[in-house]
Amino acid sequence: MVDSPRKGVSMNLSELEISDEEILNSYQKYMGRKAIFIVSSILVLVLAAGLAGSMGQAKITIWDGYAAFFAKFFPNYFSSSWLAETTIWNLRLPRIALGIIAGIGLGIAGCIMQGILKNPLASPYTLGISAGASFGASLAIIGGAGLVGGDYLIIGNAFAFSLLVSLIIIGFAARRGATPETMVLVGIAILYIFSAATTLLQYFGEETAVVQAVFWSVGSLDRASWSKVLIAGSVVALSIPLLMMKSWDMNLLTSGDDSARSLGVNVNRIRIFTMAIISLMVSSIVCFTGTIGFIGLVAPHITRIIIGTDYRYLIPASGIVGAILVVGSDVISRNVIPPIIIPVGVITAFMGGPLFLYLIMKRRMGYF
Amino acid sequence: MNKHASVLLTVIFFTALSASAVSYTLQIFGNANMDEIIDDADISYLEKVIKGEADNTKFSDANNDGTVDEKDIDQVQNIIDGTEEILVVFDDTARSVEIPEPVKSFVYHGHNSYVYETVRAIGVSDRIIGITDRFVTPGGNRYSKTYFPELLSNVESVGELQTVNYEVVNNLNPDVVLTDAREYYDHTKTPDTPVIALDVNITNSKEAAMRYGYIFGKVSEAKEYVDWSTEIENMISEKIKDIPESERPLAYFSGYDLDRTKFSVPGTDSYRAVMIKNAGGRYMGDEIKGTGSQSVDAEWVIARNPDVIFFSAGNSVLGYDIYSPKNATEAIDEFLKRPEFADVEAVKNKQVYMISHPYILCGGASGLIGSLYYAKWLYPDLFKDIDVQEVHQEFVSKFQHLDLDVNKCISAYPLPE
Repeated sequence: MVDSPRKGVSMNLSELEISDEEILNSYQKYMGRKAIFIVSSILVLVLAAGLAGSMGQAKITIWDGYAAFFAKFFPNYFSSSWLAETTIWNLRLPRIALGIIAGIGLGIAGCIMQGILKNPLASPYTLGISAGASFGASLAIIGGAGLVGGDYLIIGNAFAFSLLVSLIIIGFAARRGATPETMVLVGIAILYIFSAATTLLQYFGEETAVVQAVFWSVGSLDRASWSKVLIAGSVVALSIPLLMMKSWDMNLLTSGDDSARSLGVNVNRIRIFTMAIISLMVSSIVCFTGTIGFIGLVAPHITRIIIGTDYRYLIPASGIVGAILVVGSDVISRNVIPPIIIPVGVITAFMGGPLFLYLIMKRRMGYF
Repeated sequence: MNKHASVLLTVIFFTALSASAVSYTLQIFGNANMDEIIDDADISYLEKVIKGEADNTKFSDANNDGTVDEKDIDQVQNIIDGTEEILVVFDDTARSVEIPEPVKSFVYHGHNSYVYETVRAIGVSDRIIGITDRFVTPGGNRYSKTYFPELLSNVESVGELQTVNYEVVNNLNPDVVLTDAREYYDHTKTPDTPVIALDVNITNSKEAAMRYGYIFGKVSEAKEYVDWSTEIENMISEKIKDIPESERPLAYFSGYDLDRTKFSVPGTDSYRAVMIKNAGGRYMGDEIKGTGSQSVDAEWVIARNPDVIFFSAGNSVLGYDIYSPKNATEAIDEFLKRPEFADVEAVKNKQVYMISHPYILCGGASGLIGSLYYAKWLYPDLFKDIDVQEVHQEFVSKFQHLDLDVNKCISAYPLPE
């Protein structure tokens, strides 16, 4: 018998002993919950994508839509009209695909940034990467200046400047003695600098060009096309395995930089490596979509609240939750006041914000 | 002589004057000799090109098949006869757009009113089946029950200017889509519909009207419209041609801002500047380069001491749906009372005017009407024989086909004497 610190309470030590089997069961239950969450999230994403493919203003039935989809693969079994084929393959599917890619990329980026910078406010938006993209696009639209010409002027500029922001942050991170706090502060400073530069451009710009630049900066899937899906999708697909490879190290980082170092993790190298990959991934997304600011912040938090901080699961799950948020928001943005299409970046904030608040209230603080 | 007769005589005089002027190249394949019209002279020119006696031109290849041959002569003949099956148009994006003819329906992805007023002037408003939301939803900045009544019934909204709902456009399946905001229309989203980016502004309005005439098979109607506007343009320039630059009134133009603490000045190449110069004014924004606007403060305006101030205002102050001058009067009176502007010539002499932004500013014939208002305000004696309201009414009744009395609407304030 031992005395409990609480007066008058005592317990038997044998009651505290847990068998290996119980530990294993508990672990399997714990892991099972994560797996169930990921599988369920994938199913929800498939449902959301199916819903997005079925809803819209084109005068086609749900069956017409699915027939047009399957006719591409099984032309002998399904036939489709011109309107259904154009609607599904030219309009809705590229939107859905870009939405999924953007959601996955931004969700994962936010998840990892929050982890390596140990800051719940870190996201591609708060670190100025999106502000860099907006500045690059504004420079192209208002000033007509860019690194590449023609149709890729705006996209090329947005990509180049978002990458530039990332390089600056990484440059600071590589300095001796740089802390996660330094990187966050650098990111916020860059956010302000590029926002001010964009405002300056807009101040002197022609009215129609300014409107176009402002519109570009609001996240939207309207510019989706298969070629953009291919480019952004390839970068995201190549980035995910590279980031997943670092999930164990990320787990060790949660116990603090010193503990991680003592376990053989090169903390600085991890930060620089993951930031470089994330930057490339986010740049390849925002140059096509503009700023969809809320996903990178909220998707990882929602996921973390539900399944905890094991990055082996948190990284993919944040991506899937991000994709659900973007695709779900797009369904709303296209159908809430037809034929008007509200920019998806506005809807993600409206939808994700209250959900985020609800989860925080329900679980209270301290999950991070 | 009454005012109507004097306008008529002026018009007859300047019709003859304008007949010989060649001022633009019609941007349609088949206009081999690069003049304003497709006619027998183009066939003669093509014959010379084929024989090697004349140079190939940008629009010689009438059927756009890569070679200039007899088939191009046939195509030009078909265009002249109005029986062509395909018309190839060069548009604002420098694309050669092939249009299956005849065009019986269209969607207008519109920013301004000027493309639609042009196609309405040539008599094809009954072919529109879809338009951007701003024209058909109350509160939209081009919405007008009086000026665009036909758009409010049986014309579908295709979404916002910046976020076109391409599914609706594909539902409508128009023969063509017209756009004056090419940066927001992705023609790859409606791949089976020709998209023509062809804006109408104060500098290209005649050529654009003729191009639309060919697109819609309304060449004679377009020519009549162009001739009418050319006559007015010539009349204005004839009256002001002998006024030395130094004696022309210095005119300041700005959008009317509710907080009235900042002023936006369009640059020297803007359409606003062109309108004022066409009307015989010296433009105060000439020192600002380009077509964009620049924000300035009150000091900037006061230091330059303009003789005349023009404000443009939106639907809530001026326009075809506004029947009371109350808002315009209050705005101008308030401006005239501002102490910092008290010594400015325009304020001392009460030369402060307002003009409707959405309907008679910087567009095609609308911009011309706006210039005529400016000219009348700038030179009341010189233009005393011109009744600007009468010209405005002619535009609305004859070319916009509207039963609308411009005397009852407040499009410009205060009206010139």
